[in-house]
Amino acid sequence: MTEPRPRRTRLSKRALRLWAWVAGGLAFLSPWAALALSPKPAAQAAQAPSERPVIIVRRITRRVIVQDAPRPSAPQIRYVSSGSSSSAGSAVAPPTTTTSGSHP
Amino acid sequence: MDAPRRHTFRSMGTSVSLIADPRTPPGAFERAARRVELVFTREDLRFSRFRGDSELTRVNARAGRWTKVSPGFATLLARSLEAAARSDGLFDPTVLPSLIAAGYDRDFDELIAGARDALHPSEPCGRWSEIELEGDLVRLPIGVGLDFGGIAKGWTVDLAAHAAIGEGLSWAIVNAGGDLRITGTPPSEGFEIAIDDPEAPGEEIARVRVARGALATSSVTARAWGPGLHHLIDPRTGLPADTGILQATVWAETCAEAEIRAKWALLSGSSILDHVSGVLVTDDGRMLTNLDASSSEVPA
Repeated sequence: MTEPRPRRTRLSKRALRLWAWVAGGLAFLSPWAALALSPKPAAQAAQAPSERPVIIVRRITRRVIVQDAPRPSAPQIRYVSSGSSSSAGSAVAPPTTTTSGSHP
Repeated sequence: MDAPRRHTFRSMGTSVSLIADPRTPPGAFERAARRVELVFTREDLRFSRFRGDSELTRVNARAGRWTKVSPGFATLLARSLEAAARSDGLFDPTVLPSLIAAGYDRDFDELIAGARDALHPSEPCGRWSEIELEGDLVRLPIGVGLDFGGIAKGWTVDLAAHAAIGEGLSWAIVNAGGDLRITGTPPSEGFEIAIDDPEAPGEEIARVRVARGALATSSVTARAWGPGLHHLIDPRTGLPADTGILQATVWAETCAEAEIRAKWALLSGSSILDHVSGVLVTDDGRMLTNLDASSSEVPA
């Protein structure tokens, strides 16, 4: 004949409520705890953002070749620059006007 | 320097601008603008091949017979024939039949809208030497038609720029679709002129500084209506030019002369830089110039 198991002692209602409060409080605080325990960012990065470096992208699509040719004397005209002034990112004065191949 | 005064209108199938000293009194500028417009209206009536009432249409219709022409017409025809002789026929005012055969048979605005007749076989060119001009009388050989094209525009720009100065402007630039002339007494540093990218219209490919004279640009990518179809006929073949040069920007004392040289450059290839001052853009990605580039940026 087997002996009956000893009956487990049940927690009192008061103790159970206390454990519930403790578990709930820990669950509520756990995100803050995780944040507090995580490594902090480097001090330099935590400072106010510094001035961003400017990257000037210049699209060079063509190779410019200055011909060493017997040049007719035309001091009235001089080569100034290549490429689009707008892509250089600098404040280049607009040209007085533009020449193109008879666009309508 | 303050922004220059500008007045823009359309004529000869392109946009025309009068640019003047910002200190010009408004009244003088308005008078100059009116005179410039009048010059364009008058010369368009003389040289347009798209108008039934133009002097050019009348002369072409009377090929084979002597026709009396205006002094302006005779002067420009003489200059065109002289340029044809000087360029060994590369500049040819008689490419009209080839131009029509290639499809440029109506005003460009209609052409790009698709209202073009079917293409025809190419027509022979080079009959400019058969044109007779005696004073104010001209006789075209039968089957030959004149088309002054860009030189008429350059000539008109020259006349308009002088007319503007006649109204008391200290300096003026007249720019008709990229063919421009400077008159008067410009600032000592001259003007910066941007050259358009032939493959990306509206984008600058280079800049030059011009103190006086004129600048003209010819391109095979402008006024094109299909692959290999454009308005610059090579008189040697009677077909649209294909010389490896996409665009030629050339300086000369007058705009009419700059137009002649720009066309000549486009048809000759890069060797033309032995004879003219300018900037060429090739179809293999090079930009060739013989201009003084000292103390200026030339990226590799």
